[in-house]
Amino acid sequence: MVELRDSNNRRWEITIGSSEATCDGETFVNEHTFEIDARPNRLWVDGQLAHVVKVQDDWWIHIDGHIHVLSIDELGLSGSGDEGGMTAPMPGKILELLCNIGDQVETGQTLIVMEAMKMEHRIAANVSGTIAAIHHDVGEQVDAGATLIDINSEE
Amino acid sequence: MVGPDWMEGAPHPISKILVANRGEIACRIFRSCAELGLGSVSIYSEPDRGSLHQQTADESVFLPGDTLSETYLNIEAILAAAEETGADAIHPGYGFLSERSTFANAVKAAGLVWIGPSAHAIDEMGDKISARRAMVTAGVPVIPGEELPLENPDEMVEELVRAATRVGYPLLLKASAGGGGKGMRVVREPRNLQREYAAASREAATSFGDGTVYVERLLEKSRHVEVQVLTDMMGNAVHLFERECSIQRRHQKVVEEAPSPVLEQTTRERMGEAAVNAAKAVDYEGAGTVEFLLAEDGEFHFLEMNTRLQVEHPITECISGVDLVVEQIRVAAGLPLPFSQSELTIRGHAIEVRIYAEDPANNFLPAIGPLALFRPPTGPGIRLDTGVREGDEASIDFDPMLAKLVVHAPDREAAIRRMKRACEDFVLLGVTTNLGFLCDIMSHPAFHAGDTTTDFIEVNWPEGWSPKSSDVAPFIAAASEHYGLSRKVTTVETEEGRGSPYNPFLSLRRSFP
Repeated sequence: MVELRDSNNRRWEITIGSSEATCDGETFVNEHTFEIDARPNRLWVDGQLAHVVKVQDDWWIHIDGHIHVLSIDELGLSGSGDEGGMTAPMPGKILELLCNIGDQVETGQTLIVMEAMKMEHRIAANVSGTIAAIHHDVGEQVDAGATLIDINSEE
Repeated sequence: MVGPDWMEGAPHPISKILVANRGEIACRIFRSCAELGLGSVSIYSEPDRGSLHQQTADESVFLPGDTLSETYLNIEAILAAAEETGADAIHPGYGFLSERSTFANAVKAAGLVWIGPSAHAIDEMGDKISARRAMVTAGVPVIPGEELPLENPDEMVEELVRAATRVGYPLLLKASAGGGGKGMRVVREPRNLQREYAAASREAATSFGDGTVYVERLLEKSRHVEVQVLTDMMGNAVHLFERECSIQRRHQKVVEEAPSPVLEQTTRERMGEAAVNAAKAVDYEGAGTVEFLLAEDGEFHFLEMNTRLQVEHPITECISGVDLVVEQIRVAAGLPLPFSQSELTIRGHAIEVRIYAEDPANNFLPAIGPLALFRPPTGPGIRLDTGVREGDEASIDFDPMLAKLVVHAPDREAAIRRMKRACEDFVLLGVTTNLGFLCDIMSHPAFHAGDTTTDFIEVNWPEGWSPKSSDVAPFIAAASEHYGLSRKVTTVETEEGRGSPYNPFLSLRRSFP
């Protein structure tokens, strides 16, 4: 069985060779036919050519003029819905911190100004609540995905 | 004799060109060098070791250092590279040093041919305020509003507020030395003025080393239409019609087309004439672009003149049949333009899209990752200008533009259909790009109708854009995982930098892998 998560954060369980699959626990009929040949990075799906490549845990797929990304969902990995934790969307430098620990903030309020590729980006609160922790100082270089700020969300 | 046969009799003959740039524009210039029988030299910094632009040139010179000012902005090192390789001319490309008059002067002082306009023209047009003044004198219409140079953010607050009130909202704060959307901020309400001013000034200081910002009235529902001009040293000047570049995100162009879908012939002629007058007003030499805002009422206003080759120059090449880089080189060698205005005509319609490594579903934030599969579309009327190939990485070191995809067709509808097909056929996997968004622009009724004002993206995707989800894709991923269909994508880090430890192309001259 292959376990996957799509860009809408739906969880798929698919077994190749089985006529059924589940998405978020709901059962789907698997009617698709696949053909593969000796060439890497491609297959035919219901007679249509798809290009595929795996980068780390992600399958990148090009079919019918569209690009899709599916992540292999391994057990023990939590989903991306990290409660109240705000992460850097790209690598860059912290230019400004616009909040302090203990501040009451609202969803959408700008908390951090980052710079990447010579452009400024505003990082806004993803939840209303109280600032519990600030993990980086002004001037620091952060990686994509680095936790920047923890917010204790209000109910 | 210096240079190829066609150069015979040229006042400033050229035999080998160093391109003081990188990426797609360096590759594009090297192709013209090869076709003209000229030698070519690339410069590269550590992150560009093994890059396409390094390998496309006949020779390459490594510039050590971690910062741009030590490498692509290092005038001394670039001139030393030219001397070392015997290059006798320098092409600056766009960006980097292309609009620095000090560089133009240094190149000439070193006894080399500068492929670009004079330092005087660069300075006159580079300062938005002197440019505006020169245009008023030359009778070229300018944007209504008030200019206000601001130098010190802390001392200028009151002056800024007064000027903003006189100009009126919404207004635009622009870096005087700016371009490409950097250091440019829209202010819709007085309460955001100071915050946006601080950001614009800071961006300008980081990007251009000059924090001067000024205030201008924002003309909404307007179009960005620019005219390509070409002038030689004998005073001959022509325009090669217009490009419409209205579709922008964060003031950076995304889609450009030529000709404009709305310009009437009489306006085209008036605009072309104004552009030629603008160029003549500063004794311009070579290829340049005069940008106008075309207002809803059909009136146009001078925005700025870009004293260099533009990113979107290929669409003009498509519709005019003129190779702009070849003409730049000929003009720099002192040769006359080989055609007059009456010999130039518009043939068909061309569209360019800029493929960026960015996430259109997440506020167009830059994305990074490997170009794990990179299979560009092919076919008649399709051109791809790029500095990357399969296996390269989209990194944060440079601009996120990966490639320019250009199509040419007999008419606008055919060009749109061709571009849609080309975007759909482009297999570019491993890094998030705006390809899906570009496809949707090509299918949008407003684009087909030519309703391409500068707020096109905000108006047509007010809630932002999101990709179509697919119910078959999970099955494809599952099958691919099950059958192990992927070649391994790995990045080898060696002491020499990125890339495979043994690369046969590194030892080949002029390879086009």
